[in-house]
Amino acid sequence: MQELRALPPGLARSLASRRPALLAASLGSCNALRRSPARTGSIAALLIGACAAVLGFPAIGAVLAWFAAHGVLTGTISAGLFALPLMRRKSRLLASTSASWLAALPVSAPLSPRALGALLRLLPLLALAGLAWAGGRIEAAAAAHLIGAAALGALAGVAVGAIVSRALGLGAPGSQYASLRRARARWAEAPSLRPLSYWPVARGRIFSRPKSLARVALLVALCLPLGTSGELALVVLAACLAAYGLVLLSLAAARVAFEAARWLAPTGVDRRRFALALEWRALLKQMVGCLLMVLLARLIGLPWAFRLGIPVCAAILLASWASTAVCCALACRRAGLGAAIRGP
Amino acid sequence: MSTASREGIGKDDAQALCVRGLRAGYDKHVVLADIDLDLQRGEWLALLGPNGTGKTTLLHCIGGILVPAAGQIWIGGRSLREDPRGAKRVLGFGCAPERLPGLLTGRQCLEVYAAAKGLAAIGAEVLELMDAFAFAPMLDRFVDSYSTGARQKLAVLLSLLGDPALVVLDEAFNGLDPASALVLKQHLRRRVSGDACAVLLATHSLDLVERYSDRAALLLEGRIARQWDQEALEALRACPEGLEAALAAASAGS
Repeated sequence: MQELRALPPGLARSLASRRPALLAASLGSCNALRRSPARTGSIAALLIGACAAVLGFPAIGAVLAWFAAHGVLTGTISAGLFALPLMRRKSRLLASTSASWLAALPVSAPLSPRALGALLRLLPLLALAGLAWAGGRIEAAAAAHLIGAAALGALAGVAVGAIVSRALGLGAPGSQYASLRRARARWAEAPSLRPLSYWPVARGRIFSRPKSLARVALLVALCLPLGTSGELALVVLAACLAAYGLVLLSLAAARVAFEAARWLAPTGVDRRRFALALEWRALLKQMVGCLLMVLLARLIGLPWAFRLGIPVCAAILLASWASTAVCCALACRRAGLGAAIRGP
Repeated sequence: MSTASREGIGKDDAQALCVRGLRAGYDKHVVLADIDLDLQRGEWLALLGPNGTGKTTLLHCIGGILVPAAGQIWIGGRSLREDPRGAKRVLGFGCAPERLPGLLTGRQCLEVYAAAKGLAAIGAEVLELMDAFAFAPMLDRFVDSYSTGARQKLAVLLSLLGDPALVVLDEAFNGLDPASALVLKQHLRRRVSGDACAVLLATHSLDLVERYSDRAALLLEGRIARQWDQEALEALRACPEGLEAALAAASAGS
């Protein structure tokens, strides 16, 4: 309770009664820092190093000044960075609030100010600009321009993110990856296996989450030889990411085939109906993805990419279809779907 | 047993379940040995036994999820080995809640399961039970976001699709709130009383066995150690210590 005593009594009481989650998080951070002096020391060293880098490298001042001079670009980047996470922030906040150990307390933390807490991400930029100004790397006006453009962009991004989230229903309860489809009107009168096809696609989205794609992007970027033109680098990176996405969708389809076959084993569904219903949407998505890649290569005037793209896409599609068919057959066999069960 | 009488086993439509000489396990580990079990339509059989004794393995064999090493299973008069589709058509299997597809919604699960069973429509009884469970608001949520109780309700609803002759449930009352549990008990009792189906329920709840089951079987170390018929259960209901003491005695005796 030392930390609580260190706070002014009024503030501690107000935090405990109105923002218990914030108080608990602050106390937790204090405890973590106190428990591990080595960690605290390394954080302090990192901060001091960052300050030294800002003050010691003139290039940082030049970069900040460039962004300050191009206010529209800075604002747009900032808007994009704030809009994208906010589209799902509301549902995540709702989920974390309901799962919190403080959920039973008679305190209702309003959601909108908590969503606006995303704006706290501007603090590091504020600190960077302030430090660069204090170190004489940029002028006060440039620092103000930079912060102003970023803040305006962030506000616009928060607004756009909230509106898009509400309009598209991205904050709908449920999975973070699978998108909610409108139910068929006659789902009970004429049930169909069609919704089964959403499962591999959703699993594919989980596999190709940004964290996984970032690793591939990093690996591809590191493999590019020095002197590669920016245009070529972008084309290679985009093609690799798209191909990786297609491969991940195939892996997802294969994995879901086993899960779905096990789930539907007690129904005795026909093997062919099962395989078709499960995989058609994933295969269609792969085909459309391949077509788009080839067409884009043609449109941006890369004949070599166009020529190379067609056989590569055809090979990916064929391999994907073959692997999916084999996995479905194996899954059905293992789950005993549709055929006589093997005896002892 | 003569060839003629062996051929006749399990082929009776009124017999919801017939298990003969069932042996099953995982790799070299034998879990079930020489299981014989009969269940008529209009009966509710509670399967009892300590953890790890093979209750779920037995249910998985009946559900066609696990291929037995030996023995035969007939469901509604159809052999699970020779006519699996026919046998599964009259089987209602309540899968484990954690096996439900998390990336589909409850409505999609119901629709897909009904279509997989070849049903023309989802029966009114199931839709009524869904309303009685107050499950309708959950229908368009992803199963991933369901609580244990909601998953359990969905698993039960799936098992009752298509008016099955045999309903197989594994600890189906775990996680259900008392009101929903009562609704389910009454619903199953009504189905059983009308001779529409039989219920095979693996459970640890002795209260449920004493108040709702017609028969009970105790599974110990992969074998059926003891069975209680309706009269025996009636007699146990009259005793102060009831089934608990009988189970302890049977376990000690074996």
